[in-house]
Amino acid sequence: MSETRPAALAGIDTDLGVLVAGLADNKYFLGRRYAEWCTSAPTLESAVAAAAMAQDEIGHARSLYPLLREIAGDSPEYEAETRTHFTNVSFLSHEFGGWPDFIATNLLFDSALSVVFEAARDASFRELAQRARRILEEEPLHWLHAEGWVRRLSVRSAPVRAALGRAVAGIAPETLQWLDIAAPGLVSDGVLSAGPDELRASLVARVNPVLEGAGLPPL
Amino acid sequence: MWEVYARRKFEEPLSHVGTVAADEPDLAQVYARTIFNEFTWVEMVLYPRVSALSVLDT
Repeated sequence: MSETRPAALAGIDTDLGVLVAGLADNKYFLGRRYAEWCTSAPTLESAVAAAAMAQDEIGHARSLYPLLREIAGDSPEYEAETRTHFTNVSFLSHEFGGWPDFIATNLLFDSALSVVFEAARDASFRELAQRARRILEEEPLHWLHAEGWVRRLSVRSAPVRAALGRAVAGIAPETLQWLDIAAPGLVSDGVLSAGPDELRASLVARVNPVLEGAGLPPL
Repeated sequence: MWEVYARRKFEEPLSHVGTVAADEPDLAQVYARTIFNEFTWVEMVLYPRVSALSVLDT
C-alpha cells in the first residue's frame, strides 16, 4: 500500500473503513481464487466443495460492501464490480500455483479472516457484528476442508508434504502481518474485542496443531 | 466411500441421498454438505460403506 492514499480511497481513510474494506476485498478475492478450482480440483468432490466455498466467500464480500458504502458514502469504488483500488493481501492477487496453495490459503488466511470476525462478533458496531455472526456460521465447513486436506496431503508423499510446507511458509508472514488491521482504536471503540497480537495468538493456536500433526513446521 | 442419508422434516424418515468418496470423515462431511445442498435439510448423516453388514447378497 502506498504512503499517499489514492483519492478513491479517501472515504475509507479511517481504521473502521480500512477494516471493512480489508475484510470485503479479501473475502472477494478469496472467493475468486477458490472459484478457479471449481473445475480443476483433485477430485470431483473437492471441486464441488471449492465451488461452494467460493460461493460462500463471495457472498460474504457482497454482504460487506454495502457496509463500506455506509461508512464511506456511495461511490463506484465501493462496489466489487467497479472497484479499482482493492486492499487484498498480495498472494490473492494472482492464481494459486497448485492445490497446496489452495489448501495453505484455506488453512491460514481463511482462518485469519475468521479470527477477525470472531473479534467483531459482539462489536459495538452492530451492522458488522450481525454480519460477523452470519459469516461465522459458514466457516466451520471451510475449516474442516482445510484440516482434512492438510492431513491428506501430508501422508501422500514427502514431496507433496514439502510442497504444502512451502505454500504455508510462503503466505504465513503476510497473513500474520495482515492482522495489524485490528488497529488499537478499533479495540478501544469496542469494534473489535482483540488487537493484532491477540488475533495472531488465536490464529497460531488454531493452526499450529494441524501443521504439527501433519509434520510441518509451526507458524 | 460414504453413504449419505438426510431428511427435510423431522417427521420424515432419513432417506438415502447418495454417496461421497473421501479418505476421512472430515472431508466426507464437507463433501456431503456441499454436494447434497439442494434442500434445506434438518438432518444429514453419513457412514462408511465398509461398515455395512450384508443381509442379502444375490
